[in-house]
Amino acid sequence: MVLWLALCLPALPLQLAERAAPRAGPLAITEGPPERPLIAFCNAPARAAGIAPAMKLAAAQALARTLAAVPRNPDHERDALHELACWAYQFSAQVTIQPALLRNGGQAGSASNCGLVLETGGSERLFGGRAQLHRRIQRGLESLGYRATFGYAPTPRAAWLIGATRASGLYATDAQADGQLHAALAPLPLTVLEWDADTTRTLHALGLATIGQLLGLPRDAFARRFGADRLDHLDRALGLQPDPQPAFLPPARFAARIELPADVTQSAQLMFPAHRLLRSLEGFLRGHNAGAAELIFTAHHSPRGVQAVTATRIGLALAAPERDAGRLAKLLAERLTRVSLPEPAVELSLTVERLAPFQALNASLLPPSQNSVHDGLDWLQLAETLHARLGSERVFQLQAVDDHRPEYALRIVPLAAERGGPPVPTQLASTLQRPLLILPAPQPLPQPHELPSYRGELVLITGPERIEAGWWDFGDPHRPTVHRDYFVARNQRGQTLWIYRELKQPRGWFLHGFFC
Amino acid sequence: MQAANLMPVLRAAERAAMAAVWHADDPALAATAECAPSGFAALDAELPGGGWPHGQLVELLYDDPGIGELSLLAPALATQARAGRACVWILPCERGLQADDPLQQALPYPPALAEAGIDPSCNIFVRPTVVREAWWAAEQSLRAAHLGALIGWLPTSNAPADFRALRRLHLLAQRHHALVFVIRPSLCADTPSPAVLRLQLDCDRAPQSRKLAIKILKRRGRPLIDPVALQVHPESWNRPAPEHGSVARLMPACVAAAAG
Repeated sequence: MVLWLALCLPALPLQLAERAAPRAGPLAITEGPPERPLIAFCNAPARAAGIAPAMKLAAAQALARTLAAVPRNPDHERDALHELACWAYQFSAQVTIQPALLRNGGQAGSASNCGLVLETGGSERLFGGRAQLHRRIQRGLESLGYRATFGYAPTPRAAWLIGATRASGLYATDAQADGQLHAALAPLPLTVLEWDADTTRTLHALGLATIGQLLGLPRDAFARRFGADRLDHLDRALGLQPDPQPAFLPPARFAARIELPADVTQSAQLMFPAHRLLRSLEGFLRGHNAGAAELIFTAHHSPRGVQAVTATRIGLALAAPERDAGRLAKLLAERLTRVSLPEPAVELSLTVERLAPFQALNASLLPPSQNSVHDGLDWLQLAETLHARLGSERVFQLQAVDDHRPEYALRIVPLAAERGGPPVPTQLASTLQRPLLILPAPQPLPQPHELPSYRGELVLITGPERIEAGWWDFGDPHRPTVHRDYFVARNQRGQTLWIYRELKQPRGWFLHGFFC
Repeated sequence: MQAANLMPVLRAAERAAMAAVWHADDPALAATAECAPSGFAALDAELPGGGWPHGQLVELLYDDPGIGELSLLAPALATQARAGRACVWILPCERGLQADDPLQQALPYPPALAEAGIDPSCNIFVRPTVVREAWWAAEQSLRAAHLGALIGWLPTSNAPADFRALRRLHLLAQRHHALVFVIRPSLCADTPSPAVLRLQLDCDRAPQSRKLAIKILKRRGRPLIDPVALQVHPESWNRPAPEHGSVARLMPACVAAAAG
């Protein structure tokens, strides 16, 4: 059964400004020419101080001295709706951004409410029923920092009308089936149709206040007097006319931003807004059935005077694609300990350029053994946690490389992004006696009496093992050829060492490893 | 007649009961955890349970690398690697060492690890910069469910702080099945530690022997008086030290000629 859900976000500009952190003091969103700004939206403390929409900013500031005024930014609102549509795509394949619906007969620009309409009838079974899905969307919106009113109806327009009525603080009932549609729409006020002011005024003058009264008028006369598209609007809301919706197609990259209400000076303070962004990312990735392997947070700073300050870039690279906001937040918290902000940050953005196929990674169905930690981290998560805090050059793996030169027989490899799952054991064998600890850069040994010493006199035990190799890297200064005689040596303290005598100029003895 | 029939049953019951009783005098019975053999029978005989205990903190105290200390752990690590479980190495922290100490840059050598049966790809290496990072990494590792073993060169600051940090690791280790080895300098032998097994490793100073001498400072059960001596390196390395002149003999002729 087709059922549409309207998510109506009242006073979106205000919500955007309060999203990163709730503000206790009065806050107003202004619009209009910069020399004479008018209040467009204001929060509850501002209303309590006597501030109302359409008031001049100067007058409002006289009423509340602590009033914070933020100019309205339509681009931010559009981006926020777009981001929210990406998030909502996880619940439904049919998502429409409002106020596109109002274009037909209404004035899109003056819409006081905006939001989304999504078809949930088809996906409610997947989420365990209508009530479950409702709760899930509600909790999700809360975690993103949005307040929304919900409206359910079998047609998108009716759902939107119900949602918009609730957004304006009035009572409305949901229409769960076609039969209830008329009864649900009838008591709604005419104003939610958002027709132009003249029409609404005329209708009010005729004594018409609700949609139900409009529907009681003769159709021909109504169309002649108010236009066929008004009648069409009502017909579509009632499901008498088909009402195809433009399908929203989410983009293949994720970009979202959040305005920081107050200047943020400590990197740890970025955690709360970052969490909101990660929630949004999680919804986006669920909609794509994908994961993100590299996240880039950018903290934008306020310009220092006229000079712009370079934004701080915080990259988070993962060993395997991930989308769980909780896990990502833990990694980010570790990563932020290494970040310091040069200037206070005013905006935080998150971008993911490349989506990666995601497999939910549950290490195993059964725990590896009964004694192990059941709620513990997976080893991949462990690697990522270490990686995020200490950096890639400090957490690594080692690979054996087939090279006769001992220092090139190992390679330091970062914990690779492509390698997923537990490590695969490989078969490697060597017949030569090699030390368990090696020095990547051999250490020169002092030679007090022509003979090498290391914490005491050295005694050669076995050797020499001549290693002359690397001529095929001829000319590469980073991989020189070696001409060496290796010995196993031991000193008075019992340390067994791997040392060599350099045969090239300048000659000398070097310590290369420990037989631990 | 009936009593005679009951005797074997009683004996079996007694044996079963005895097995559950903690025997302070018998190292083999004093184990409370599953153990992984060290690969050296003489050492296993003295370790409670016959090897390195899983899920317990084990402390190795020594100063000089290269006395054969890691070889004691290799068979147990190889078993973990074969099971596909990760092993985390917390390498010596740069801050805790002297400026010229080669351990600052020393790395486990993958060909030697592979020869010991430890697949290098199962190992994660961490090189902390400051003391706090080393302990943090150790703690994080012990929160990972699939950890097979942890080998940490953990720096020391002062005895009370070390004890607290070790105690945290000890508690985490007990919730875990992993092998946990903590490597610390031998001057820590006098300070208290929550580890269930503490071993002090040194080289046997007898002129001809060159064995690894292991003093068990602490174990479940009766204390060990005499150190265990193990031949870790090949026996042929124990031959009498050659005369100094023989260094020249060991040198290739061309080098000797060039040096001369």
